[in-house]
Amino acid sequence: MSLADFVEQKVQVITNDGRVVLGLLRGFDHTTNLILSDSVERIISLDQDTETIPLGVYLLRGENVAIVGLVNESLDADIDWEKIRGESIPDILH
Amino acid sequence: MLPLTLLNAAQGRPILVELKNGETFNGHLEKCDTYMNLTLHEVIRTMPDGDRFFRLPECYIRGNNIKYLRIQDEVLEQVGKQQAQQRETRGSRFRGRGQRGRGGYGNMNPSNRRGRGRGGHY
Repeated sequence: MSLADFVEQKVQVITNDGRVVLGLLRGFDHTTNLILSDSVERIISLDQDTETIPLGVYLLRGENVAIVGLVNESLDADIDWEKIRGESIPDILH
Repeated sequence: MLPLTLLNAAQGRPILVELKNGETFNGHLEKCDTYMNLTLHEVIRTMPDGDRFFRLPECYIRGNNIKYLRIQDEVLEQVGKQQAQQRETRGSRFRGRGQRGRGGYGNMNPSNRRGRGRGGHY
């Protein structure tokens, strides 16, 4: 029961500053530093369409990672992300 | 693949670093260590609002300040290839050994531990 189960699969990461990043999980370590390849950031807002920004290879520092979720690719493909509106995720409060 | 392995492989290459405070540093990764401390050369520092820019010939970033790093795709591919090659050479080295007789404790189970010190009752 660890991130090893998610390696080489598409994951969605929520960071401490409320960003949503999706990518292929290529590696991790004991501090939850992550390597994502072919990653994109999804910016969801209330007043405009969802933006998807390609980011390439991302190395996220574990301190900044809040959630790593396994993406169900068929469910994700069924959603027209451009049309989605939503509130932005607030920063993590310590 | 370990994140720090990827980072080490990126030495000498362009990198983008975003800090917790939102500043970004674009430059060539000179060195890094196990704490993710970095030295960058030929750096452009952009302030969080994107309104001010600075050029720094070199800078040192203490690892704990980092939010994330962006690395070139080629670096990931290189490391992937290296690791695949290492696995190959390791594999061929051990393939010969396996058949030559086992030594040690082949097929160990409690019933066949005769004479090997069974551990007493205290």
